[in-house]
Amino acid sequence: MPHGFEGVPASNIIVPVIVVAVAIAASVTVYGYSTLIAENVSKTSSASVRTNAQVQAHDISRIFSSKVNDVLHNLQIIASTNTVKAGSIVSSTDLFASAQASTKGFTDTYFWIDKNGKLIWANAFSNPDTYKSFAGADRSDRSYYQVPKETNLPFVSAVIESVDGVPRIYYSYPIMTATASGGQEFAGVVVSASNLGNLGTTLKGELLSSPNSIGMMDNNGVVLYSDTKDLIGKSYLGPELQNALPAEVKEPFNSFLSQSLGGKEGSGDFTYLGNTTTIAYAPVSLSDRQFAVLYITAPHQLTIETAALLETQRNLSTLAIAMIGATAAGVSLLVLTWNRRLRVTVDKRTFELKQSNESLEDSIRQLADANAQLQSANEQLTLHDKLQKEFVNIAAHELRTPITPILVTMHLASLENADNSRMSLSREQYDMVVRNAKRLEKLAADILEVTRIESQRLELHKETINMNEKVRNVITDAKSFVPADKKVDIVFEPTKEPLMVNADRSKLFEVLSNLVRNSIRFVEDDGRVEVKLRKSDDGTAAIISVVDNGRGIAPEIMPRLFQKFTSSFEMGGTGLGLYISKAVVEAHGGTIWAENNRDGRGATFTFTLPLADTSGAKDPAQT
Amino acid sequence: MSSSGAKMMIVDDEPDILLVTKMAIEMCGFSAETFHDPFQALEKFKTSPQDFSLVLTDIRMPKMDGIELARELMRVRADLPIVLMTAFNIEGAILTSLPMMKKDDVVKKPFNPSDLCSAVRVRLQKK
Repeated sequence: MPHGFEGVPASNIIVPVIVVAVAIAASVTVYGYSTLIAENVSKTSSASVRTNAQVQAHDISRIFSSKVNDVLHNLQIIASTNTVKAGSIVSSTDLFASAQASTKGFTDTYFWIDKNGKLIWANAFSNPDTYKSFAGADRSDRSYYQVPKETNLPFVSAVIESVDGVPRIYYSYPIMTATASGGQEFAGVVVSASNLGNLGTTLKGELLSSPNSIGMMDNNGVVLYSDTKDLIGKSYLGPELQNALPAEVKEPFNSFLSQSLGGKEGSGDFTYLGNTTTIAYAPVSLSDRQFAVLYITAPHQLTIETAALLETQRNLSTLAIAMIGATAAGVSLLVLTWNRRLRVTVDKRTFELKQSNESLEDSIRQLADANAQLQSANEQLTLHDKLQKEFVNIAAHELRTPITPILVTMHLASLENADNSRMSLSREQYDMVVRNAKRLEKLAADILEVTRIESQRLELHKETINMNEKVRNVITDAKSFVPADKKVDIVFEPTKEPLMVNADRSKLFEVLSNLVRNSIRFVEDDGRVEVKLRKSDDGTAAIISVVDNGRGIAPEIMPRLFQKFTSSFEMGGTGLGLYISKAVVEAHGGTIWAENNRDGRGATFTFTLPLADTSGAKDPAQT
Repeated sequence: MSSSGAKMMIVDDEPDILLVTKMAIEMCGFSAETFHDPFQALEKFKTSPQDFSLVLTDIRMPKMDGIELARELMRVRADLPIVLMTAFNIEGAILTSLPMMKKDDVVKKPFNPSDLCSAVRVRLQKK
């Protein structure tokens, strides 16, 4: 019986495979997407950093310019003041004081140099000691005196190490006085200076605090300002720093510096020790003096952090999805296993149910069969009962039939001998009584035999019998049965070889005798009855036939010939002979049948008996 | 035991019964002619229906049973007295088959010859 104990349908395995595939695909997609985002963010972040750096650089440039311009503006005011033009120091000291006040923190001092390069006034001169030390000091060698004297234009110096050892930037403005001819005449300069330390402090104060660095250099590469204070005042382009810098820093840095000093604004990245740094540069152009502002970002922390964060997120997403996939696959496998177990259980139950159902059906079928058998048995019983009643009725009739002549004869005898105490019977009466009494006896014996047959109590006492002898015995007996007024020729040709059968002696006699007597009854006067004996073609049976030339068997009788009481009244027998003969022959394993002769006269009754196994048996012919 | 000289026809397939019945009938003072074959009996009756005062027939016979014979006989002669003989306990069935017959017209075998005589006489007187 087929049932699904082994194997799970392929469709069930597809489910976790799909789940795992989807999970892997999702992981890959998310990984890729995260990478893309990381790159984008990195790019965006870099761009942002760069833009920011440029803005900052520009701001510093602007602030620095603004501060310097403020100073230059102050210097212009001072230089254009009539008292200054007139060389009136006393009247001009307040101007210098207020100018210094307005740019305090950015500038150290404002001072005045006459047309010959002599220091004639400084804010510090308010202190008599300072005045004594510096008044009249010669500054004619200084660029902030020489350049305006030559050009009559304002001037901004590069970084200059002052007499006090402090590097400064100097701003100067020429004092121009009118000549008699209507022209202009150089009359000295007003100067101010920024201590680089102050300058840095000011710039720092203007800027938002940040981890980024600011650098400013003059056109000589001297550092105006740096977060690294040691560098202030030093020449970046000098051999000391240039030799100290690694090439991967120096080259881009120098490039940016030259761009900036060239008056250009821009930015660029450089990578050092795996960290990318963006540098924005902006120029400061003051009175032909070029300065460079460099805004150096810290290594791209944001980008790095974002990238790291995104990397982490990406990895986590991938891990999460991988875990989801694995879990899904696990759950699917678990469900699959459960499903499989369930299926096995269900199949088992189904199988059991089916079996029990089948056994139930079997039971029902058996019950139905039993019922049918019972019904059939009941019908047979009813039929048997009916047949039995019929048998009893007919038997009663058959019993009464011979009793009638006996009783009537006796009554008549009694009436005839009414006067005598002794009753006499004629020979005819006597014969009639005896004949019918015998018939009664035979009938009683036959009825008993039928009862034995029908209750399956027919007993056979088999022995080996020589058929030739047996037939002779029967014929001898039957001859006495032939009525005196009837001439019947009974013929028998014995076989050459003895034909031995294994049969019940008395019952075989009854059968054969019954057939021969029937034939005798059937034939007319001068009739002929022949008993034929032969071995069957296959040599296993004896075939015994009784052939007569009587009136044959009526066709309507033929089908009922071997039934009880079919032919008694016609043939004068008990009506049970053929029935008993058939039962006896069949009990021996033989068959019996009857047919009308082909020549249209008489009938032939034939029966078979299995031959006795004579090998090793004693000669049965002697029995 | 007076005899009217009436002649009876007796039909029975059993020779012994035929014989003893004839003896019984003759004892009653009647004469009788016996037939073991109902067809022969019918043939005989057809040729001389008035020869027989009464027919006494067995019921269970081959070829033609007593009831059939009775019908055939009455077809020839409607007023023919008939007495039926049977070894069966089937008067009811017989009377149903032959509505004109009475219970007394059936004699059960084995019979007492005196009873047979009475039955025959009663039947003859009815006529």
